[in-house]
Amino acid sequence: MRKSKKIDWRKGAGSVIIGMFIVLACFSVALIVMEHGNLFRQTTKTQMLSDAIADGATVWAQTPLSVDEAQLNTMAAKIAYANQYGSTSYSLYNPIITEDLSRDSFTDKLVTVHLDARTPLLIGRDGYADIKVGSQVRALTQLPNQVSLTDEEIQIIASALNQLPSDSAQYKAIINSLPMMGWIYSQQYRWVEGYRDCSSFVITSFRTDERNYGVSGYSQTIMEIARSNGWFNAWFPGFSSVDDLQPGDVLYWRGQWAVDEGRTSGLGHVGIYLGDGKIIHSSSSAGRVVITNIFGTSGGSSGLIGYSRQPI
Amino acid sequence: MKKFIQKSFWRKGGGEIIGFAYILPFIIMLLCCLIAAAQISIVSQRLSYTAYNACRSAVVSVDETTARERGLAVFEGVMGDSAILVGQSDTPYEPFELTILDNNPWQKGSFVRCTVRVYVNTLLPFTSGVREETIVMMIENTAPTDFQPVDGAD
Repeated sequence: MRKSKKIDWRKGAGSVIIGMFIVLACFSVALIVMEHGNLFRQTTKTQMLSDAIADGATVWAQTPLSVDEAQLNTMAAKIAYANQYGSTSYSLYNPIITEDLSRDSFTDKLVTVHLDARTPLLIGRDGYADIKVGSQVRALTQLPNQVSLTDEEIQIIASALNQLPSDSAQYKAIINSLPMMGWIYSQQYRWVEGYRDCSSFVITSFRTDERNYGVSGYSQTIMEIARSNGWFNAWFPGFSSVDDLQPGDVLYWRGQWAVDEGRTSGLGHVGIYLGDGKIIHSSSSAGRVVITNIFGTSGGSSGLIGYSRQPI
Repeated sequence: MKKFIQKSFWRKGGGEIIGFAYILPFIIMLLCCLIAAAQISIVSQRLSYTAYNACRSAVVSVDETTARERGLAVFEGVMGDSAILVGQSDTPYEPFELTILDNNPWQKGSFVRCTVRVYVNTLLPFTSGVREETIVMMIENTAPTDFQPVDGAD
C-alpha cells in the first residue's frame, strides 16, 4: 500500500492548499454577491411594478363618483400579466383592498395592491424565490363640475340676488360661486378647476370685483383684508343675530384645530351667506361646495367669530 | 540583505512564494469577477429605476410624441447621475424605446412598453455590453399641472 504523502508546511507545500481555499472563498462570495444582487433587483422591480399597477389600475377604475372595484381588479391583472417575462411570474392577491378614508368618505379611497413575484435563483437548479410586495395609492374621485340646483336652492339664490344691486361685489360673488357648486373640497388642488377649499372658494367668488379679498391666500388673508378695509364685524354670541347678516356677507368660524394651531382668533373656516339662514361654502365634511344651513356648519352660529361686508 | 532573503525564502519554505505565485492569477481573476458582478448588479438596479421613472413620466403625457420626449429626458437625467459605468458602444442602439401594444392609439387604458438601454463598462471585457430593462404600463393621460402647493390652510 502506498504511503500517503505528508504536507510539508515548512517547505511551502501548503501554500497551494491555502490558495485553493482562498479561491474557493472568493468564488463563494462572488456567487453570494450575484445572487444577492439578483434578488435585490427583482424585489425592487416587483415593487415598482406594484406601484405601476396601483397607479394605472386606479386611474382606470375611477368613475366620477367612486372607484369601480371590478374594473380595478381586471386592469390590475392585465398590467401584471403584460409584465410577465422570462421565468419570472407575477400574481396579485385578490381582492384588491379599497378602503374609505375617514375625512372625505366619498371623494377619497385608499387602494391597496399586493403583488407576488416568483423569480428563478441563480444558484441551484429549479430554485425559485418568492417576493411579496404591496403598494397603496389614494384615489380621489371627481364629481361632475356642475351639480344641478334643487328648487329650494334656486329660490334661496334668487332671493339673495333680489336683495343686492347687480353692480355690488356681493351680487357678483354669488353669481361667480354658482358654477363652482359641487366642486371637490381639496387643499392640495385648491386652485385647480374642479377643486376648492373654503378660502380659495371665497377668494375666487369675489375675485372679479375691485372690492375683493385678494387673488390668493387663505382664510387669514381674507380676514386681514376685511379688517384693514373696515369691512369686518365681530360676532357676539347672545347679542348678534342671523338677522344682522345680509346676502353676500363672508362669515368666519372658529375651528378647534385652528385654535390648537394658534391661529389668530382660531379662524378655521369661511363661507358666503345667502340669506334665510343658508350659506354656500366649500365644506370639508361634505367634501365639496354645497349650500347648507348656517347652523349645520362646523361650529354652527355659536362658532361664528364675525362677518365682513363690502360697501354697496 | 541577500543573506536574509536566501535564509527566509529559499532555505526555509521557499515553496510558499512559488505556490502563491501560481495561485495569484486565479485570485485576481476571481476578485475581478466579484467586482464585475457588483457592477452589473448596481447598473441593473439603476436601469430598473430608470425604466420605471421614464415610463411613468411617459404614460401621463398627453400624446405619444410628448411621451417619447419626456421619457428620454427622464432617462438622460437619471442615468446621467450614474455615468461612471456608462460607456460608448461601437454599435448604435436606441436608449429609450416606447411602443404602444396592440397598435392601439394613445388613449387612457392602452398599454405601452418602455425599454431603456445603456452600454455598461465593467472591469471585465466579456461582461461589458448593452444592458436593457423593460416595463409595461397603462396610459393615464395628463395629470393636473397647475396646482399650487399649500401649507395646510383650510
